[in-house]
Order: sequence, then structure tokens, then C-alpha cells
Amino acid sequence: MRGQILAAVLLSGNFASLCCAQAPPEKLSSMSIQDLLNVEVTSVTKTQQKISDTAAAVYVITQEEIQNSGATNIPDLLRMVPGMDVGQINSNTWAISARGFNGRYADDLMVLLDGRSIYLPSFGGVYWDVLDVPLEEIERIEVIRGPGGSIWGANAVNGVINIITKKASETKGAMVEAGAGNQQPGFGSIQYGGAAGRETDYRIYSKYFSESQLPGITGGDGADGWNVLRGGFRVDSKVSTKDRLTLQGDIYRGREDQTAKFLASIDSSVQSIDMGMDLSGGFLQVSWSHEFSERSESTLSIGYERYTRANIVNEGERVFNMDFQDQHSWKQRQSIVWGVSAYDSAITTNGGLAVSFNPASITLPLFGAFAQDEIALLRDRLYLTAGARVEHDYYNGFGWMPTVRTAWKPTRNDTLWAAVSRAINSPNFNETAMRLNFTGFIGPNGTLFVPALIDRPDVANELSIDYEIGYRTTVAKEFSIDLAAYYDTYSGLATEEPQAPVFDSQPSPAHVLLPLTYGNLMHGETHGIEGFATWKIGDRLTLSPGYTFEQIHMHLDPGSQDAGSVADSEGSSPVSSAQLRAHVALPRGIAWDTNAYFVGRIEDPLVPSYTRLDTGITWRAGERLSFSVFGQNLLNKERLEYVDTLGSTASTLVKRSAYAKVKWEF
Amino acid sequence: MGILKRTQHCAGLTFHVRTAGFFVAASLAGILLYSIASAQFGPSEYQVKAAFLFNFTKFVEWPEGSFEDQQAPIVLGIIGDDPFDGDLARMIAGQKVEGRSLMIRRERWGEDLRRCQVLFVSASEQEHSSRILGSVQSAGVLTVSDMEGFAEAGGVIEFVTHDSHVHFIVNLDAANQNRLHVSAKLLALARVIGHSQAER
Repeated sequence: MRGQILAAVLLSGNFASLCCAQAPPEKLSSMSIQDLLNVEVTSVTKTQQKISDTAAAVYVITQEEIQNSGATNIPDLLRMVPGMDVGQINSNTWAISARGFNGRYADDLMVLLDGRSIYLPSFGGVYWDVLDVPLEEIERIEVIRGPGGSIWGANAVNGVINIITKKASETKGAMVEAGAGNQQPGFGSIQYGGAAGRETDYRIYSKYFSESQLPGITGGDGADGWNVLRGGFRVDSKVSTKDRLTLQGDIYRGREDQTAKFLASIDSSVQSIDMGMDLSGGFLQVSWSHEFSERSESTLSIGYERYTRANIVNEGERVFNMDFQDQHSWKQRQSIVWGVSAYDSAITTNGGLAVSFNPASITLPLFGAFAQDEIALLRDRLYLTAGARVEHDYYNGFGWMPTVRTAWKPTRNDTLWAAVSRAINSPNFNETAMRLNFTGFIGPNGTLFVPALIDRPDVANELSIDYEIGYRTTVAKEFSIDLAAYYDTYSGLATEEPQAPVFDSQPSPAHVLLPLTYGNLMHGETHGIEGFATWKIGDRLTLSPGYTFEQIHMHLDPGSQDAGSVADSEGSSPVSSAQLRAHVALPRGIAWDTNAYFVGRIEDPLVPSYTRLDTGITWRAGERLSFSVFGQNLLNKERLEYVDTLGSTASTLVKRSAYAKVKWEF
Repeated sequence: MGILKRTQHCAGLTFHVRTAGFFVAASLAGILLYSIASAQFGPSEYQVKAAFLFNFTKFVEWPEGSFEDQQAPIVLGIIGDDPFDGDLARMIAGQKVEGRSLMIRRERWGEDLRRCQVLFVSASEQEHSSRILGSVQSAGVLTVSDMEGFAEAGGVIEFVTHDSHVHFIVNLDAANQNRLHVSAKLLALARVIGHSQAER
């Protein structure tokens, strides 16, 4: 629930749903209209502040946009957020980040599902293939580009994504959805929601999909087909007028194919082999929120999560987390939030010759505490927010992440905001414990050389200071614009430093090891602008254009001998990307949606620029039944979208596809 | 290195358990403190709006044929996200207006909204409000919303929250078009808009 409340604090979009019973409503019902006009209501400040007032670069994907997008998975939904880089590597693997530094193992983004962090300490990122819920259940996805470390902690360096699912009370009844297409031989979900007593609502669901393999780069099949079966539930209970309890969980099982690297012995070359990977996992979370008064609420949530992925490296992780936060507002002038959290992640790995971990297993405790105060310097006009989070992580001890934000509303329809934040990116298990052996080769005199990337347990934190400004304006009811610009400085970024060659007899045969190890010897700046607009033309047409410009400049510190990190980082994301989404509401319940995304050339590894075009028609045939047909990637028969720098997974080609689905509610 | 890491790891774990215990204790203490310190405040905005909604039913006459029979309840429809959080339900439980009980119906897109007597259009439906209003035109439905400009756009009653107080605007034209008779008592307390106002 951390996200739910904290998103509310930063975005203040969720306040309306947080405030609830105070004075007995029975008393109000006996009051006359005259009396009611004189009642002073206290939640005004809570509901007043809207997303349009937030001093951060925020984008909210609504349920309507989810339906209009035609997307069948969460990564595809994120394409519509200006400033997000989404690159599909193969059918089941994505590289996703905000404001640069993209990669399969991008580690600058915090991702939350109903406030529960799904960012993994093992590699500092998210396994997008297993982050899933039926998309109909999502109420909205709040995306913050830029640092969110002052609340969410290390690794919320370049963005926070909070996926918020609907309350059980909003998904009553049964829903069946089923579809198929040339890329997805079959997908569907079943959901049932009901009430257990007057104050308790629940829903249960199950979702399944199967995706065919995409074409391989060198022709033939890409060997990346996959399927996942998932089941989950959510129970919301109003225990008393002031207490709410939410219990939710899911469990999944799946299988996916990938082309991975395999090393039989160090004197052989690395082979690419098709490997089937079994996936399984699940989570359980309970959240209790108590409202002390209209102006004060606390939430405690406890969660447990585990997953296993059986591939070249068999890995498993279980995370136990506890979050507490409290929110308090004073005289409509100040709104204070503070909280504490404790995480405990246990990672186990079983590596091979190509990839192994030392130690193979680890437990990573993490503690954090934060506080934030939003002060209305001039009510409805000028707000100042100051906050900081202190975190204690296993590798580098204490770190702190402060932020200062201000929002100024010269008129009702305009908001100007600015922010300065410090963020840190703490090392992850990959950097501190992973060893990669690359292809061995025979030198001129017959010696066997083996290059390897070797872990370094004392990797330091990466640091960034971010300066942001933004402007939002509602020109007319039908037309609004949102602009953000940033300048971020980074230091202590990870580099790969060559070390002196070492003669090594293990693993046999004897060889000369050419070690590379991590350093923190790169610094640099990034800057960019992100803009989007919503334009309603008449009753029937909505246009949503967006544009992103981002540039990364990296420099090695004196003493660094790194050969690739500068180019890797600078070339990880496109300089320009743009989008245009059009929604047309036709008569008889028919909607026509077209979404076009242009993504500029990615330099390293090179991917040419491309335009993705999706279009589809949805027909609401009566009250409970809807049909839709969507075409995706219509402009190219097949094209390359993203290449993993490490080459840990082979890229395949995204292809033109189409699907049809039917949704029935009863 | 491996050995060093393992010892660190054990130390970390002990620290973790102890600190977690501390956090639990601190959290509980915090909750306790707040329970004691928490004062009573006024009702929330939506509780007051719920009370208004209930009250409106007493001051509006629906056109003939709006109810199936003498016992048919007054149906309060809510379309979009329900902001009342059960308060409206609690408020109308057991109440009767002109001998009719009241019931809440959560409406969905595409359903026949004309079967409601009162339709609350949630702010989440901003984009569809003109279509919603169109679908209940002249159907004897009292449309209410707190979306800005709702009354101007043809809704019957719009809530306006100003200075921590909830007020309301009545569009008399819209009421007439919907064949609703709004009591003068209610109009006296409202801000009235619509051409008919001039004729009165």
C-alpha cells in the first residue's frame, strides 16, 4: 500500500478514495438542505490537489487509455508515456527505462503493484514477463519520470511506475474475455467479483496467454514462444468505519523459450542454445489502513513474494517486506507523510560456467525511513514540498535522498513546477556477485586466454542530482499541454575496468584470465524534454500527441580504462521519439483507435529508427458484450526493436500481427 | 572474499531482525499515540454530498409513469467511480420518501440509465458526460454531478464546493426538459441558471 498512499501524497490523485466515514452519516441524513449548506467539510484540501498541480513529471494511464491502446501486456502500455523507453528484445523480454540508460537489466526504475515494490534486488530491475494482471482490473498506472528516491528509495533514480488495481467493490459480477491472433494463439481471462457480507468485497481471477515465437534475426524461428497461467484474488473489507483491510495475492506458472549463451568448457567458444525456462512465483500482501481523523491516516502492509526461474542460471528469490506510513494534514496548510520500511530478500542461484555467482546465495536486508512535508505557502497558489529518505542497504550502509519541490499556480489553469533531488542507485547482486566468462581464445603463442567480467563486492553507490522544471496548462476544456525538462548530473556510474592478466588453473584447462571488474569511474549529464497534449475535437475525436528528446553525455574519470560503458550508456536510448494517438468514438458504440509511435535510432547496439502503428476497432454490442479487433506493428512485416548489450538473450524480430477478442460481462 | 561476505551477511541478518522489531514497536507506538491524539473533525465532502442527494429526492416530483407502481423504490444510480464509499447506502438504509424506499444502483456504461430517478455522474465520467446526459434526455432523470460546468452542459444539479462548503446549482431548463418539478424551497437555496429563470 505504500504506493497507494505515497502516490497520493506525490500525485494527490488518490485522496478522494482515502477519505471516508467520520461524522455518522445517519446524522447527516436527518439534516435539512439549509443545514447541509452550512456544514463545513474537511476533506477539501485532500481532494483539491489534482494531478495537474503536482510538482513532478507525471503521466497517468487511465483504464480508458488501456482499453483504447489495444495493448495486451504492461510493457506495451508504457509506450504511451512520453519519456519512457520501451524496447522489446524478444517475445518475452523487454528493456524498459525512463530518461535513458535503458537495457535488459536497467536498474533505475522503481515499479510498484498496488504499492508493493516489485523491483528485484537481484539485478535491480523487473522481470517484465511475469509482471501481469488482467488489464481490465487496472484502475490506472501512475508514472513519474525523474527521481522518486525521497519516498521510494534507492533505485527510483529515473522513474516510478505504480500500477493500481481496482477495488474489489468495482469489479462485481462475472467477466470472461477470450481472444486469439497470429502472434497469440490464445489468451483469455475469467474474473468473478462478489460481496461477502455488507462490508467485504472480493474478486478472483485467472488469466492465461500463449505467445508464438517471433522470427529470428538470421531467418527461421526465434525460439522465444511462451505461456503463463496465473490466478489471483483481492479482498477489500471495511472492518469498521475507520479501518480497511485489503488482502491480495496471485500465483503463476509458465514456460518460456529464449536463446541463451552456454559455455561447455572455457576452451570452447560460447554457444547460443535454445533453452526452455520454467517460471513460477506468487505473492501475498495484507494492508491495513486506519483513519484517525479526516486529516490523518496510517497504513501498515506486510507482503511476501517468491519466484523461481529455471534457466542457464537457476535463480530464486523470496522477498519479505513491511511498510508503515502515516499521513497527517494540519489546518489545510501542511501535509506531512512519513514512513518506515523493512525488506528482506533472499536470493539463491545455481550458475554454470558462463554465468555464476559468488556467493551463490545471499540475504539482503534493507531498511528505510522517509518524511515529506507539503506546505501551502499561499493556498491554491504556491506549494513547497520538502522531503528526504534515509536508507540502509547491505552493501553501502546509509544513504540519503532529499528532494525540494515547488508548484506555482498563477491561474487556475496553469501550473509551473520545479524540483531538485538527489538520488542514489545502490549496487545489486549482479554487480557484487556475478561472474561472466566470455569466449576463450588462443593467443599467438598457443596460450588460452579467457576474458571474464568479475564481480566486485565493494561497488559504490551511483549518485545523481536532478534538476527539473515543468509547465502544465489547460488552454481550453478541450486542450491541455504538459511539458517537462530536466538536467541530471551523475557520478560514480558503473564502469568495467580491465585488470592485470592472471594465470589461472581453475577451471581447467590452465589459462590466462583477462579480468574485467566493476569500477565507479564514469560521470556525466543527461538532459531532455518531454511533452504531451490532449486535444478533444468535437464529441467524437481525441488526439494525444507526444514528443520526447533525450541526450546522454558520459565521461570517464581519470584512471578509468573502460572501453565500452560510455558508448553503451550514451547509445542506450533514442534521442528523439514521438507519438500520436487518435481515438474516434463512432455511433452505435463503435470506437476506432489508432496509435503511432516513432522511435529514433538507438546507437549501441545499433537499432535503426522505426515507427510502430497499431489500429483497432472496438464495438460495444449492448450492455455487456464487446468485440474488438486490433492490428499491431502494421508498418513492417518484421523489424528489430532492441538489442541487449550483454548479449545475454538473443534479439528476435517484432512482427506484424493482429488479434480479435470478445469480452462478456454478466 | 566469499568468507568475508558470509560473515557480513550474518551480521546483517541479526541487525535486520532487531531493527525490524524496533520498527514494529515504533509503528505500534505511533498508532497508539495517534489514536489518543486524534480529534473529531467534520464530515467529508462526499458524506455531505450524499446527504444532499438523499434530500433532493424530497424536493423533486417525477413525471407520471416514472415509477412502475406505488411501491417502486426511488432508484439512485451512480455511474463511474463511486466516491461515496458506502455512506450513501448507509444514509438511505430504512428511509422512505413519499412512501417509497430508496435503492442504489451502480450503473455501467451502455446500460439503460433511464430507469434511474436520480443519476449521479461521477467525476471519472467527465469525458462521457455529454453522452450520458444525451442518453437520459427527457427521461425524467434527475442528473447530479460535481463536475465543473455540469449544469451549464445540461445537467440538472451541479455541486460546487467553495470555501469548505458544498453548494449547488440548478439548471431549471434542464429540469423542465426532463419533466421534473423542482420545489421552490429547493430553488430558493440554490443558484439557479437557465432561461426559464427569467420568466419566473
